Amino acid sequence: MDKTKSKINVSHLAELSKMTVSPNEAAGFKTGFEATLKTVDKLEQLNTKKVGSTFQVTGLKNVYRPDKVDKSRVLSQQKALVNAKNSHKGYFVVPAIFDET
Amino acid sequence: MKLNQLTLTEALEGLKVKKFSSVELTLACLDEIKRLNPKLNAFLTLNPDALKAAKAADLKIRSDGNAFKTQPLLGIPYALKDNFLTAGLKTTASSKVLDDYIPQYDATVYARLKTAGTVLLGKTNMDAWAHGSSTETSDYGTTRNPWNLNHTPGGSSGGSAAAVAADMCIFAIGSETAGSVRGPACWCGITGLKPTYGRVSRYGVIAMASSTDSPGPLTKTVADAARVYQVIAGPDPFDATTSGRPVNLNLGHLQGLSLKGRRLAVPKEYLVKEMDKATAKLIENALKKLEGLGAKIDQISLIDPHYSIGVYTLVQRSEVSSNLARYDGVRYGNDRSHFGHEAKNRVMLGSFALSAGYYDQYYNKAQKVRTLIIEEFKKTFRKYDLVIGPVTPGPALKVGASKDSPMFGEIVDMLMEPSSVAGLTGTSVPCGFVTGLPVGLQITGPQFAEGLVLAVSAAYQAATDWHLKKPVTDYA
Repeated sequence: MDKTKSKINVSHLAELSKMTVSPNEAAGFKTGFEATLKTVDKLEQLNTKKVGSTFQVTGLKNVYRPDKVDKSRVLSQQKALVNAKNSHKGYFVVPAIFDET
Repeated sequence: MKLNQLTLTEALEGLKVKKFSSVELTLACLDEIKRLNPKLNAFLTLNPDALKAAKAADLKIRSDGNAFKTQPLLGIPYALKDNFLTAGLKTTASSKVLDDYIPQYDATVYARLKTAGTVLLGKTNMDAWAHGSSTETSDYGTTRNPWNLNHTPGGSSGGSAAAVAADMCIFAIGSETAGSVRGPACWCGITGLKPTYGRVSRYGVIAMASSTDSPGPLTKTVADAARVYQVIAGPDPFDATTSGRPVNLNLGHLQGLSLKGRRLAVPKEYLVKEMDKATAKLIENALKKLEGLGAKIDQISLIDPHYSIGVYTLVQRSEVSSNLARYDGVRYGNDRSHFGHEAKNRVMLGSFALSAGYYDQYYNKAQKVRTLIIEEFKKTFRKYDLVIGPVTPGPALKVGASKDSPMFGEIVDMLMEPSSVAGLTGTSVPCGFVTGLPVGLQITGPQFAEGLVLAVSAAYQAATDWHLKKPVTDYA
């Protein structure tokens, strides 16, 4: 358990996930994560040395579609913007990444 | 009997012989929604065009003698879980992040139901982003269980299940990642079908865990579930994970299947230590009933479902962390400060499980155990037709039970997680009551065995009357 405890850094995880977490919440999350990891750590009891990983269960491989524009699914510029809170001359306004100074 | 209390099969019969109109049927449902929604909180948004759609259906029924051949669900009012996109009608997934989101396109399931002639009544409450098993994580308040308002209806499709159980609609659509259709069906005393992964399109469904998400019907009978399944299942070019196999379900063959010689397996590990004694007794009675119908039942051994909790938690949270990364409030919705507690919980732990240094220990280990579970099911289905057992360890829990339990949903759903991570199909059918609350029997089959799963579920329902019981809804 001590090993697991040391792994959890809630503020780092919040930053990675772009989530707003108050200091009060952070303490609760830390306890919750430790309890969750304690449960999932039980998987170590099962031997998977010679077992492959399953990432999907369909067995499908290389599903292609024709490289054609499907006009029935194309949104007009106006329609694409209807849910945007902030748009400018037909474009989405996104938060700045670079500092202007 | 009021029109809204009809099963889908009965409602179709009535519409076909013009015993009543779709407008009358729709109004009966809308009246019941108006009466009960303040108590149950099952619906979040009503469709203002419901009566217009019902009128159009009536016109079609009157003018086209073959209308039901091309539109098998013509004039049937239903409810849709609020994580299916409906162009022009608010879709929130019960999260304030999408509080004002009006989709620009339709989910395939919704489009297919529209083509089949259905009348959309409205969108139902759910756990926010489908994160939960009680609807308590909804940002719009908890849905109440129609059998007892102090209890949850289960989740995440709790609004849909409560709406069906309380006859606010003829049927409803839910989606299951691991237990979100079968669980609430069990706790609300109705029928739930989780189709094989890839059998029903996920296009336009707000994603939770993309490798297990499976839309499915919540209905009053097994026959009803089959009718809805037949409309929504099948390949979809907009979802590359849908199977190209044709849907071979013959509604005529569904009833009257003989269980004689059918081999059913009961995993002894599924009678978990958390199992409620009265629920265990009901399951035992259900097994005896199936045996009486000619089935051959053996007890078998499978990987303890407690391990599935670990597998499912890691796979789901990892996929959730990736799926919720797209919500930035730029193109639609509000910014990330609007995420609730449970979404933060899942996204952060998912990010942790996928982090460099922990990936092999957590995420990859879970995907390896997932392989073990799949292989074990494959081996089991070489010898047995179906696997049966309880859906949940007990009946619906009280509202508030999920508080302070960081893995509430995963623990409640542990008996459905193995079949979900393996992408199998299964039902929950009512099999009795514990202290006035319904309990369900889980019937699971191999991938694409919906026909057999539904036929055996129908045979059980034909021999029992648990599915006919209704909650008393004259709440004070």
